[in-house]
Amino acid sequence: MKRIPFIKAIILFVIVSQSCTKVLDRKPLDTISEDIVWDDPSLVAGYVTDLYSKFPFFAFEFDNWDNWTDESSDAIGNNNDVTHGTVSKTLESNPYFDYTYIRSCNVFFQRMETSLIDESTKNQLEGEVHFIRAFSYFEMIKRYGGVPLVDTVLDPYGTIDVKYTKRASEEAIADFIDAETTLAASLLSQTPTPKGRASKGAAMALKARAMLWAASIAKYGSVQLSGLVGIPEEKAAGYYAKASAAADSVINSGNYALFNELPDNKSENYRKLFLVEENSEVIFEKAYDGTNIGHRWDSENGPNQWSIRGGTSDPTLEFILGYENIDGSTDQPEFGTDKLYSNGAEPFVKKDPRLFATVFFQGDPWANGTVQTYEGLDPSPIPTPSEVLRNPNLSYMNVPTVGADSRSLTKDDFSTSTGFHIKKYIDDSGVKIPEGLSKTNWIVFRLAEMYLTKAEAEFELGNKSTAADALNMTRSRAGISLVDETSITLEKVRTERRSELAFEEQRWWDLRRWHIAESVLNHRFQGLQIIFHYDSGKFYFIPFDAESFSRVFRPAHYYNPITTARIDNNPQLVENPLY
Amino acid sequence: MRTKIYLMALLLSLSCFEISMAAYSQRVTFQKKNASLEEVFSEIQRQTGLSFLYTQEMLKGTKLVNVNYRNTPVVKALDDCMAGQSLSYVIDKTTIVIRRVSFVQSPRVVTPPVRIIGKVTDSTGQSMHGVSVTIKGTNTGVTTDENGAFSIEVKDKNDILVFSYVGFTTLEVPLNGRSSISVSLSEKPSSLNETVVIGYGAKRRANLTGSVSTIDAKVLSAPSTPSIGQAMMGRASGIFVKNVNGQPGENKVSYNIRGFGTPLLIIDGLPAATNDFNQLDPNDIESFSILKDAAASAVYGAVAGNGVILVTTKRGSSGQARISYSGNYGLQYFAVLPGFVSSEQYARMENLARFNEGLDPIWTDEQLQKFKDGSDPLRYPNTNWLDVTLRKYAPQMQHNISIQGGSEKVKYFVSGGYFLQEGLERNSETKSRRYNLRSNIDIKATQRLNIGINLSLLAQDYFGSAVQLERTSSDFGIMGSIYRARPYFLETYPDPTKTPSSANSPNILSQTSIVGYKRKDQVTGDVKLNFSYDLPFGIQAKANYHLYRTYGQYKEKREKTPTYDYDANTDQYTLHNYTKDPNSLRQRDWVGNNFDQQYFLTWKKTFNNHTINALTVYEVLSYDSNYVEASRIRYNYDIDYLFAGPNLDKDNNGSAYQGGREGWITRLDYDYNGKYLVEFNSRLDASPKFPSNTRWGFFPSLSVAWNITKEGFMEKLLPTLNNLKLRASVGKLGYDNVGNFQYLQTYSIQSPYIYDGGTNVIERGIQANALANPTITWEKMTTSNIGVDFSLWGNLLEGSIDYFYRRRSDVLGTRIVSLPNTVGANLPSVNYAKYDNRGLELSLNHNNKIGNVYYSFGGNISWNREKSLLVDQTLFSNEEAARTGNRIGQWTDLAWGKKTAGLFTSKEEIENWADQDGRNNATILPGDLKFVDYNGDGRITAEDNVIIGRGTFPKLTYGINLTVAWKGFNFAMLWQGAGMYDVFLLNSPDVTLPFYAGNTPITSMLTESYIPDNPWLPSNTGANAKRPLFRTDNYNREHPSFGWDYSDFWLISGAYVRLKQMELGYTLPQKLTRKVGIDRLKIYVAGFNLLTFSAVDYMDPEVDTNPALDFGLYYPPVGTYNAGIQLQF
Repeated sequence: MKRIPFIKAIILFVIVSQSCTKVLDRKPLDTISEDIVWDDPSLVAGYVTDLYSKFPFFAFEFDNWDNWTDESSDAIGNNNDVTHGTVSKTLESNPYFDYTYIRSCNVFFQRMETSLIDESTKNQLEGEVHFIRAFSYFEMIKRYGGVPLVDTVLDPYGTIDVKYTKRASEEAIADFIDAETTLAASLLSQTPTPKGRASKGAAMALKARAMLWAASIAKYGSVQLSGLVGIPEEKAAGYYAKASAAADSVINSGNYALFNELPDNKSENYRKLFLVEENSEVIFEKAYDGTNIGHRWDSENGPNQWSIRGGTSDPTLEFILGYENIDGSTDQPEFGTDKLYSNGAEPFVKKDPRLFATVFFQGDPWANGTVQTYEGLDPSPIPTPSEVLRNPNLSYMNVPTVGADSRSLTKDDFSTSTGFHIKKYIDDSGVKIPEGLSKTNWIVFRLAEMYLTKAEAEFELGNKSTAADALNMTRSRAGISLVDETSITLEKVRTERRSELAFEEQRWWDLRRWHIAESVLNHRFQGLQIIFHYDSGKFYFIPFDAESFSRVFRPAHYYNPITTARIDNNPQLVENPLY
Repeated sequence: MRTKIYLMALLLSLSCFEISMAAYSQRVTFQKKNASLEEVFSEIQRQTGLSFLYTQEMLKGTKLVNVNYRNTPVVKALDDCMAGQSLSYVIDKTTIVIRRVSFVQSPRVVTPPVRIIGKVTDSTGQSMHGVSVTIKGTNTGVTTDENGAFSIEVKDKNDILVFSYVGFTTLEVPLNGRSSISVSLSEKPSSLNETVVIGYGAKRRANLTGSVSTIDAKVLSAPSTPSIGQAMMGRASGIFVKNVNGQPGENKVSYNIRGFGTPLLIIDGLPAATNDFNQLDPNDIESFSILKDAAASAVYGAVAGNGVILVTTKRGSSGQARISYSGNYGLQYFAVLPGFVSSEQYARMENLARFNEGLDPIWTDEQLQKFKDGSDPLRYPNTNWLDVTLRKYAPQMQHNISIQGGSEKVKYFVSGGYFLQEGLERNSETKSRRYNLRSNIDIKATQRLNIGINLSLLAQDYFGSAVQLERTSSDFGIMGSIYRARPYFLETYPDPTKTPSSANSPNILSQTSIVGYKRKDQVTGDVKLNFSYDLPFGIQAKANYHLYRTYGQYKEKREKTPTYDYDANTDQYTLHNYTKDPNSLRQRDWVGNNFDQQYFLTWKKTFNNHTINALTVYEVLSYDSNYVEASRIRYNYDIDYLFAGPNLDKDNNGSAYQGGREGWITRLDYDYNGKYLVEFNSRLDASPKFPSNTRWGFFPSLSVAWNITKEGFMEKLLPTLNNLKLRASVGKLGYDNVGNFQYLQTYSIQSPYIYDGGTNVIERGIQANALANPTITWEKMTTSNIGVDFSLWGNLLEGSIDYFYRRRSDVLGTRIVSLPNTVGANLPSVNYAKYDNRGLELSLNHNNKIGNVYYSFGGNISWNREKSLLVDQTLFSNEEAARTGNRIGQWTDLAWGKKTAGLFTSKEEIENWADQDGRNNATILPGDLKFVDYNGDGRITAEDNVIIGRGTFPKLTYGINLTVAWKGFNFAMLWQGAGMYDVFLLNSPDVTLPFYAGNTPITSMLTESYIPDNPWLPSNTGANAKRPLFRTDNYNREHPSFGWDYSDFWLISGAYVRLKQMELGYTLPQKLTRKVGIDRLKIYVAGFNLLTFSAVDYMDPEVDTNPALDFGLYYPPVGTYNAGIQLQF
């Protein structure tokens, strides 16, 4: 009799226990499960959106690429591994070896094979992802030369074919980019908008840029490591032709036109080109809204009065002097205590109008104010540099001895180191834009580059007349003298490219593909001391070394190192020469 | 008549229990004066039908009684009428058998009883109320009265009296013919009899076989600390508790058992969230156990790998209601803060920094003079931002009142607590409040059924400025702003309503007051219901149910605030910008639920000298939570609700989570006469974090112990040894600390992108989370432990020593490195790595009483260290890569960097040294660091990295405590220390690099740096230069080779020792307090974090070393001074 409750208890104990096991079968409530992703057009499109959000734009890379070139220096002496020449196999700068991103693209193609979404959507998205994958490989070839060519989804748990771990030749990667962009262009729509989405024009523009790269490597580089870096010289002409043809197809598509809304003010027209959103010249861009997605160009680069920090990339004197004069000549202004000018731009008044849209000078009016980059006040009757007052806390006869945007303001974190600030892409709304909240769009491809590419490719092919016509497109818009087949030189082609594309992250790569970095960069870059002479109310200028050392660019640095870390991880990789 | 009662235990679901309760539930009503027992018995018989069995002989000489029964239980009626009658009774089903007491207990000799009187006091001479006094070998006993007095009748003047009281040593006193004795009980000189709470049960310490540390709960509630975590510091071996943050409402502490990581926290038998654990009222805690080895924690299975901390809350005990009150008031202060240089020193240092770089001075002599003499405070101020922003002391207050008592049937403990802590920001109203209510009730429902009801309610409120002292994801934080504020910035402008701009001061004052607020409220209700039922054969069934719900709300208002620039020359203000623009209101609400069930069966059997205990438990835990948050911006109206904001740019989000756990626990425990002890524990555990085929795991453990002193030979061999026990254990544990659902491929929404730069419409993409790992399972750990517990010289010295070895395998981590990078997969965690860890723990305690002085002195010390046996690493392509990259077979706490050989002092030395800057040292100056060229290649590169020190987690931790009591006074002191680890100062550049990111240098940068000949500061080129030459910030940060590189120069020992707690108390004589009806009244003063000894005087040694939170960017730990009172009625 007494055992009954005991047995009952045991039975109930077991029943209750068994009914509780469902606690283990939980489902994630905060993620999306794989099985619904690939047949839903909106989720597939979302997957591609994610690829765009991780796209290697390298937009507004202040403090980096510009300062590695002759374009600019920075407030803290431009001390970095690249300018010091200390990049080595254990220390890389500016890496991009992103096979995670490549895998994401490959997964997309693999899933599309069985996806049930409609063909036209599939074609459009596949075209975009081919463009994306090509761009990603282009970022790698620029740095490393040949890299492993992975165009399929590799199984991390299986054995991996050695062909996916060994570096392909630089030429093979160039050809892959050629094929990818051609395929992308065939799948993509003509319609150029919205410009944050890859279009046929964007694919062809990438092709033009990549083919020009390959051609230059073939012509100016040398084949090493059995072709892992370098392209045989005899291939150069073929790539130049492809570059020119691709550029031509964009030019002739009728979808784009050079920005020319202010034809009477060449300088202002050029400045607005970078601020008027979605203008006719833009082929592909990264868009910013300044709240959800923003950048730091304004907060880092504007004159101190309008920026949070300022002076992160300061145009060098060499860069400014590198502009042609309007008449095509290259004679330079004179500086010294006996040369008094009424403002900072005056010495350069003969220069290319684009210069004044690219660089801030002392006395430039800007957003209800005036740029004040003078670094000292000379109170002596006759300019005497040893008498100059340079104290930010001092005024002389109610005139501050140091301008509000001056390099003498070093007690604040950042000021210009050269006496100049970048003007290109700087927001002209006049407010101090907080860090990371700039909203100007970054132009990846614009039509002007296509003309320049065509001009360079045709010039290298010996077609000087075609080259001159293409080059004159940007020259005439800029308001400088035109060239013809007799006056065009390689120097002019390259100078025009430098002037037109300044601070657009092209120069670093141009110096590398032309193999002229050693001669251009191994130098101590200069700025101008801008001194206000109180008695005359004018300024005088003294060039000075803006950097504390001469930069070092070694022959090895035409390629990035593969690095020991990557080779340790994947012993099939071979280190680049001279590292 | 036979009565059957069916008890429906509704929640128990265990069906009905048929119980024969007959006599116990019957009641009688009967009044009569001078009634004979016979009359009483027959009346009871008439009313209840119970029959009486007695002889007339038995009733001879019994006294007449006055009875007044009104619906009185039979048992109570019988007790009353037979009180003092030398009769007893036994109930046998429906018959009440009356017996003569003397006949039963002493049938042969009838001696007249002797009355013994006496008094019981504690070690301080206070009389003790409620001490149980029993005659050894009988059930006869009394308790002492309010004056500690007792009176008891014994049969034999040579009987032995046993005095016992909770928390005190039980004392046996032979009467030896005395008829009056006075006895003094001492507080727990031996812990052997202490009951230790272990996983799913409790045991006497003497019978423990696993490694368990305990903390006496009484010490926790004495000096007031904001949380129990802070009170636990230094109290027990094998656990290291660090106070990493003093933010009111958080008081973040990190718990670490044996260097393993965050342990499992258990309150009253069920897992608790860290917040609930930290917010427990210390006054509510009864006991505290730390389960360290596998034997002790294996019953917690897959979550117990890092050890377990168990707390139980207080419960009622039978007896008169005892009301206790404790309250204290304290002042908090920052235990360690740096000092900053003055305006003049700042300017001189800045000139010098520029001088060192070959630049012109920026401050003129005239300006330096003005800073020095303070003659122009508007233009040349000298502001101490620490004083301006922070107050010296912030109040803290704690009250707790509890009532405890009960009868045999119902026992209760009810407690209410209030805790207030204010912040140290001067202008803010930062305030954290906590309200605790706890009600623990035990009901003996029937002879066999016990019900326990634990209710706990916790409410927390926090209010503070929108910008906290600590750095957050959205704000730099006030503490960091203090570093950024320069002494020559104005504290306020002449017009105090104009908030200074960040260019002139970092807005500190506005951030502490007017930029908005944060408010957090959280309410947690927690119900635990326990049912236990005694089944036949010594079996007990138990069911526990736990319902938990927490609801919280967070609200953050950010006020758009104008800031101004001020020109002292013209006395003009110009609008600089708006901070916290646009204004915004964000609100987040969350709910968490738990429902847990546990079903126990326990069995205990004793025969001869063998005792067997068996336990099996089935447990199901289930929890879910969700949150919703919303915000609006650009408010036009000052109304702090969401509805009042504009519709544009409103934002919201929400998500949910659910989880659970299931386990079968068994324990078998064998004890031979307390001499040989064997315990087997196991758990079959399932975690839903893993797929169904790898979900279940079996975690067994075995432990044995041998009480050597119970062997007959020991007493002769070593008579001074009171106790010696050897313990050994081995067991397997799991650890499932990994994200959920890693066995499924999932995608999450993230990554905004704009396709159309004209319209700026944001689209969000979906990204694949890490690849699925379909075979993922938990980490396994095998821990062996051997230990010795001993006590010597009549328990004067007690201690224990433990050694453990733990091997972890299948440790989860991503195998990024060894998979070729071109695969590009975002890899899931896999069970791969292996580590082992070993450690030694020692604790010693000495208690004694000399005259009126009782004292206790003790300490604990722990050491442990871990080695990597297998980790994810590459096949190194060369020897050098292997030298610096290999981690297999190495200690895990090694720091790598360059060795230094002091500072350069001359140009020649620099020229002859290895190339440090890649330019043959052309840029190196005297006062720069001298790096050692390890590989001798003449250049300083990454290949010169060597092991330069230890990791940042202490390998050695210790605590020392001293307690002295004399008469009513008591004094206690607790020190905590840690050692054998390093702090890497460069992780906190604010205290290493002068002018770092525009910071104001701390004073030691002025006094300790290498200073060459210059016009501004006295030279310091000698041996006392502990810091290198400084330059401007820009230069410093970009020149790693000048000294700001990972080197042993910046690696300093993290060792510290700290006076954690000190208390001086006085308990007033009872003679005085009784007059106002107070049983016990104690007043005390106490302090927390009172003294600190460490290698640096500007950095709290306990702060979080997480590099993401540099020193200076959070709320430093606080110290407190308290005064308090404890009352008992």
